[in-house]
Amino acid sequence: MNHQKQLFPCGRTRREFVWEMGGGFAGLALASLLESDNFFDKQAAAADITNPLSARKPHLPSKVKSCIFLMMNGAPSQVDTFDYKPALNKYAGQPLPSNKSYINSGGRKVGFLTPNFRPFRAGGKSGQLISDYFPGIRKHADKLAIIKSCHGDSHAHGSALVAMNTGSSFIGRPSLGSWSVYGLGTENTSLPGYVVMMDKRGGPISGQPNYSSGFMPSTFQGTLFRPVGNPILDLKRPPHIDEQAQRNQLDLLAKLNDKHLQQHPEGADLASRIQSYELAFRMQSQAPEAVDLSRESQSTLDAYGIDKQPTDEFGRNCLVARRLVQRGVRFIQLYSGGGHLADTWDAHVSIEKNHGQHAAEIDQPIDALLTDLEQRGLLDSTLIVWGGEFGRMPFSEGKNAPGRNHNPYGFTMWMAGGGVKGGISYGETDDFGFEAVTDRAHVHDIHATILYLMGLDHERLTYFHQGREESLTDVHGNVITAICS
Amino acid sequence: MTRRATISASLLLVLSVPLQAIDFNEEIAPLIVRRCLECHNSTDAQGGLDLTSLKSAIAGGDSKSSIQSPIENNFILQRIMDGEMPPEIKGIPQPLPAAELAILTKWISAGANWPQDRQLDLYDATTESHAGRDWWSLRPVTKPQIPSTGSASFKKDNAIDAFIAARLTANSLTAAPPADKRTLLRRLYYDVTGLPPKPSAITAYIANNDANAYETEVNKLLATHHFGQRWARYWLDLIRFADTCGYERDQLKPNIWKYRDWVIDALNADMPYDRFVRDQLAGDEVHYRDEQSVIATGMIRAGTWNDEPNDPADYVYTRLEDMVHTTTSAFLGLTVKCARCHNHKFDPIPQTDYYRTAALFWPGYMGQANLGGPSVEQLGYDAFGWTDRNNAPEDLRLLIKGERHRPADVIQPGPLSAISNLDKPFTAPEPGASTTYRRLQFANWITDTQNPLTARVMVNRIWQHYLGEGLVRTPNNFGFKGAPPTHPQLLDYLASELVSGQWKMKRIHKLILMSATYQQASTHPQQVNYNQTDFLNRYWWRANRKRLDAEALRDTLLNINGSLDTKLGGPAFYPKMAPDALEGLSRKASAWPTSPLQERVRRSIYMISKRAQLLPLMTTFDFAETTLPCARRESTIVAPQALALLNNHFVHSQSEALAERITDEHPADIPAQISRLWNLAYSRNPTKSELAAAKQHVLKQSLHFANQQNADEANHNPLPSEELLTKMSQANLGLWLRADKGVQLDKQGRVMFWRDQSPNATDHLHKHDASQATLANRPAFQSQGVHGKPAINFDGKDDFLNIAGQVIWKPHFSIFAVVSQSSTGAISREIISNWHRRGRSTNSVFLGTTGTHKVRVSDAFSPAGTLKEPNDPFILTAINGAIQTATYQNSTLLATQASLAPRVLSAPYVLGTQGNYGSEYWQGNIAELLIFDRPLNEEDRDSVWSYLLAKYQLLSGRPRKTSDQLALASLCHVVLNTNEFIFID
Repeated sequence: MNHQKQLFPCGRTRREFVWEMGGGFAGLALASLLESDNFFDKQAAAADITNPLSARKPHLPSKVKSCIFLMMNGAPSQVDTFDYKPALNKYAGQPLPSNKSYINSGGRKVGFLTPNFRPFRAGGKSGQLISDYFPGIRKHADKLAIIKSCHGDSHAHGSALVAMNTGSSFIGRPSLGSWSVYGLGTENTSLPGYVVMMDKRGGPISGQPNYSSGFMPSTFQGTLFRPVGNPILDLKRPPHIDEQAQRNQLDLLAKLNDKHLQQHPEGADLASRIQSYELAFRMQSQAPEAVDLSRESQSTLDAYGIDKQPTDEFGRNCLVARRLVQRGVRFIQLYSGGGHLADTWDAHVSIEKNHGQHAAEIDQPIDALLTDLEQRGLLDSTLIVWGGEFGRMPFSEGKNAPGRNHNPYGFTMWMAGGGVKGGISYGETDDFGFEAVTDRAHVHDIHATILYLMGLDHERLTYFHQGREESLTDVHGNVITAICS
Repeated sequence: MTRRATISASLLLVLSVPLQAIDFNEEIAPLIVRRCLECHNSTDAQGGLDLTSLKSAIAGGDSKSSIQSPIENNFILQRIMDGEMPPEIKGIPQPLPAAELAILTKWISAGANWPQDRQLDLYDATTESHAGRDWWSLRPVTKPQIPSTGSASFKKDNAIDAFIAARLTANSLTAAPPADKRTLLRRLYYDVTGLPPKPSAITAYIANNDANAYETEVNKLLATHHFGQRWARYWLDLIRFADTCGYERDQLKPNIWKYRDWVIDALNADMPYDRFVRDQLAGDEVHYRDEQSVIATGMIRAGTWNDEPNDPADYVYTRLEDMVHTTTSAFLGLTVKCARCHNHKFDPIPQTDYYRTAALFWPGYMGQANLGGPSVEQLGYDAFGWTDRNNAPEDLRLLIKGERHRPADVIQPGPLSAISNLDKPFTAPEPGASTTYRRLQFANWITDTQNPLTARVMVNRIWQHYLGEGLVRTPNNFGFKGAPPTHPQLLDYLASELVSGQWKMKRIHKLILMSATYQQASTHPQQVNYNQTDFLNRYWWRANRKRLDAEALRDTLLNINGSLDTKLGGPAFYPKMAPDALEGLSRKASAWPTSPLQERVRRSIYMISKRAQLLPLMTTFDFAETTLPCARRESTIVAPQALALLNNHFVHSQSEALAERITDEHPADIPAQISRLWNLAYSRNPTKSELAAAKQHVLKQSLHFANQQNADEANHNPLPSEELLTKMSQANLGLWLRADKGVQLDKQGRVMFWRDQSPNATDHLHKHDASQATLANRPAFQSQGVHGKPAINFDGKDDFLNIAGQVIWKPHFSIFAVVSQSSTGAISREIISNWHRRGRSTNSVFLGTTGTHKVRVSDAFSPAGTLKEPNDPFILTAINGAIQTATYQNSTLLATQASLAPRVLSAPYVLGTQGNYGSEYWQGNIAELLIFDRPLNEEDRDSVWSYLLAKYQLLSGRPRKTSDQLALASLCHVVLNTNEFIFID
């Protein structure tokens, strides 16, 4: 009791206390000790201090171990993909009714309502309508919960993408992956817990803040992973330092460090740094192995469309994602589209040209990923999320112009896999597919739902920062229970 | 019935309370504030009941039951007795404790006497759930009595030690013994300058038995310019400094580096803290306004800025929050931003205070023009600062729940109300003033000697950076949710010293550095026991060991091999960024203009902090997040740090340079080299066993590398140029002439046509084939012109080729030419040119040489470096980037300067002479020429060079290291990875 009083002066919570005494790293290690009510066991503190990513119990029962977020950078058009709006045929050529207000992002030309560029067809037993841009994904219609009523706050790529990743359109907050790893740790500490794979055409607008850990320790930030060669920065030794040469170095290092440790009793920080070198040494072999596709069968490679264009790149990313899931990586984000305009889903000029290209790059790989995960019994423990930072307008950019402008008022995302009720649609946009009207799902709701499916309560998953319990969804967000099984 | 029963019971309770009169201010006011006022105040009167004044308490809310109603039918009391009030929280009842109920009942039964003018408010007093205006940090600083100690802890007490010793003694602890001289000097150097002592400084200090030797070192170090370079970084973290705006375009903030330099200079000059505050907040309003004080206001706009906000009108309020937050957390240690939407939940900061502070910045250039601030013209100086638009801005209104569409009262600018004795309205500016003088008045309020926060917050920061933790361990939160000071009296002592010492900060630095508390060892003989009672070292019974932060680490790596340049000032440099690390950028091609080597060896504080892409080596070692004020960086220990130190290219380069240094200093003497290494890295000699282990490592690695090199040579199979060609970057390659392809000769064997092999016709019309219609001007073809490869030979008299179309279309471009010279006479010679005597005599593009070995890249960059071995064939490269132009011979940098002023790019271009000048003919061979319509980054340049170097068998100028050199570098590298190197005791 006496200890208790000393521990949490002025009635502060554990977390505040831990934050106050230095936050970050030592704090975290201590936090996990506090969980086990074993606060004064310093030896354990020394062991744990290198490992703030050790797996932790979820708040809620959940089978989900990993999440793969397929980020459609640039924003795909909902009315051309998953949100069929036959009324657009009727209204084609007319302007959007004047009572519908919106910000004309970038001040672009405002044209006329334009129907879907490719036909929709029913998929699976559920008969969910999915357009011909995604014949492969359509085969999995019964696995998908399609959320057609998404909406967000920003019409600009930079801030909308940051919002989709961090919950706020202003940079500086931890991203969804950081929150997941902060809440759950990771199963494999020889690999990063939160991996981001970029499109080779470029990174996301606004850069690092999209996968940063914001005010949390950098331990929780996303690690850029390249699907070929050396997946992590500084993983590869310089050419003349082979494994033996480095082992020689580490042996001398251990000798010098051990002696130093003897002269510094109770050096938990020193001991943990010694351990971090052995972990780093292991990562050097394990991380390249995770991206090494040479042991995958030819039929698997073919299924993902590897060594074939236009699917090779995204196919590799998807297959690497599956391998990372198998190795216990907690959160994996794959970008489709990178850089600017035509290199992303930003189809201002032509939906058919742009989406035709990008959908062809990803449809087969996603089809293969869903099939593969299912066949390996991993789909129940893997949450798949698909979507962009916003959607696109149901009207063209000028008369007979085949492109569409940004639209944060209504767009589609879908989820599949662990804990997701398949074969359903949730929410609706209006007749034009312009704005979400029924069961509106804000970005905060999407985030709350993703966390929920991973076993985390978005209201309880907080991080104390500068006098405030911060959370991914701030004071917002409702779990969309209708799509949860 | 039940009611009557409880009332009777309460009467019984009353009898148990001592019979003296109840003091409203002492007993009732705090109770009402703590238990009732949250929901019964003048702005939020639930049930209509407002308990802030006698009048409203008598009015009694919806029930119309006065607080002074007789006890039998006092509705308010009844609700409390029934347990309805205070209301339950999350289903848990919150009944009034019996003692409080008794006091309240007694007070009401005695007529609820409430002094007539006594107004209560939520912040009247500190409660269990929030701080009031009586919160410790808001009370006046009083210089405390220095405890007189008979403590055994410190031999020679200075004031700091007296305060520390008193608490140690009280807790049955003793201080650690003093650190040894080596450890102490090393600690002192790092803490004051961020750099290690030179071995000679250590030797001299250890040999110096003068009683004042330590003090002399303290004085010396506080006077070096390295001090400001170290300590400015802490301040930059606090005001969320970065060189760019963030978001999609992440624009460079022009001249923001001058603010960074201002901070460094101010700290070095020991600018008084009150002026330091005033200049940053109101350097445009001070009477001594000058360029430097205007530069100081860069603090206000050093944060993020979004050029494409979703709603520009909303964005103004977001920016106000950034400015309010930065100002109040950096100078006052309060979280005022929490009061943007509602009264602060924990601290006595009403919502109106937020808007009072926001009103400081409201009159400024909050629009989207000019990167969100005043222009250089509006400032009157070439600076990135802040000022008001005029002296009469429109009113700022409080926004209900912070929502722009719910404006309420107009809020006048003013100080924070929590410090009651300084809470006076601001005066309006003089007519004709150019600004509102709001910020100056706020700065004057911050720096008022009566302001209890300012000095406390600042001395706590200084303490924190020396001792590893603050006396208040939440340096940016001195409010309710922050940590209380471990040594409140010591904090006040230091704060009053700062103020009484005319706000001079170096004095406080010295005061702390001279304390025995600071000079303790980092280990304690009783450490195992003491850890049980004070694991967190709150009583300072030892020094805290510190891990080098990102800057100190990088600076030391450069420093100990002798390559660190500690010069002051100037624009930020771009470090070398691994190509992999650039993948996170959305615009990768031209986004990273790596600075030349002489800039890249500068101290880390001069490294560009680009919000969208920070150097991974820095972020891995916990560089501050740049979007929010950061008062205390994390100090993590994770495996990626080990990976970085083991494998990062920069770390290896520094290890190799360190090996070179110790070899140069002690040629062919490995023990001496090792000893020197230990002294440079650890400030001490190696022990016998360390020396033996180090020697063994060098031997072992040397053998290993020798075997490896033999094996390599046995299998020597350099990649053929064809293979390297497949790896060459070809994006925006607009012109590609290669003498082994597409050359058409006339009957005399002279070149009449040379086909452009580029994959892209950059003008989207045609390729840029070279040709010569006039027989006499045709150059010759040499089938083995450059190291056995074909080349076109120009006679230096009249040979040249015309190039079709406009070769360069973009202002930034890259030219690579494989050439040889058969003359290095005094005259000029051009490889490619679009010079024209009419209109383009000074703004054309050309690349060539002049005199014996000078390079020229147009008239605007001449000379552009000096060729080495000008008679051997070489690759001449010119890259005109967005920031600078650089020339290279083979892959070695020759020279740089700022980007060329815009050139006239339109045709015609010629090969082998100076445009239509009819002179300056190339004399020698041109084997290959590549022109890209973009500035190639390092990775892409390397890909072109690799191909050309291999094809023409040219030396890259980077000689191969021997196995002995590599082995010594390996030893250096191990040392740079050790705990002793990275932790400072």
